[in-house]
Amino acid sequence: MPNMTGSFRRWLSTVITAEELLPEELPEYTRSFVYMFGALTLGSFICLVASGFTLALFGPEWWHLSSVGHFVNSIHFWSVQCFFFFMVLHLWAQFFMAAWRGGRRLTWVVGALLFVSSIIAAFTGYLSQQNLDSQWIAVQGKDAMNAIGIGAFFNLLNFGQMYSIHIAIMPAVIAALITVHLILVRRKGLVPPLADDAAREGAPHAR
Amino acid sequence: MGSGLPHYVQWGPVSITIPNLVVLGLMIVVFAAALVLRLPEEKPGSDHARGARDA
Repeated sequence: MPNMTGSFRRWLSTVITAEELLPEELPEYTRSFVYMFGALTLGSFICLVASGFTLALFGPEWWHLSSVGHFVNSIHFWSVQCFFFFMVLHLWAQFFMAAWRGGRRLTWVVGALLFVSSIIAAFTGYLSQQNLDSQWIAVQGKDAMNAIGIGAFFNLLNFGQMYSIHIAIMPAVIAALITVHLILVRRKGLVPPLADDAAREGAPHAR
Repeated sequence: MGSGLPHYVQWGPVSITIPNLVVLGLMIVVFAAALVLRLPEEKPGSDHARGARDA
């Protein structure tokens, strides 16, 4: 008798197979530093989550007043610098490679959504610092939010709302989008260089 | 964040702080280097070398 568990398992096997998700071999054309920016962005995100988890565990007083708190706070800060640094380089590389070729349009769109979501996460992060800088940004930015009509729903002066969005909602949204992005990359295969049409035809695990 | 005002570079309508300009320049340098520099060759016989050759 059909049930939801079986239906879900069958649907999941149509989304991606284990061989597609975790390939042991990659095409020769990926032996380039240009193809590393996406993985470096993902690595920065893992550092962000780990340091952010520690900051959330101990709270603002700890990250402002203790030497270990300063250190973890700095790791979080530099992780986000690396995250955006490598994400923009990844964006440049994919743009100049026209990476939406070969049925990869949705991968590109999800990447663009990731970029926008990351900006919201970074902005709410700046508002969650609990220092003069975050107060200044909140007071200056609230007028912009009111001007576009979302000030009542997205109140920069409400620390609880900004902090919750930063540590709960945006990480979940970004993690979900990264999962979709990676599944799409694995399903379609890594985009070949523009001049490498022959390699594109022979790209493994592409469908 | 830091103490003191950052220095700005003015170029027509463009106004950018020195730290942001440095980061932007570094990104262009890293991007160009990634295009030009080659990855070191794999040692013959390693699993990775075999995988890349077979792909």
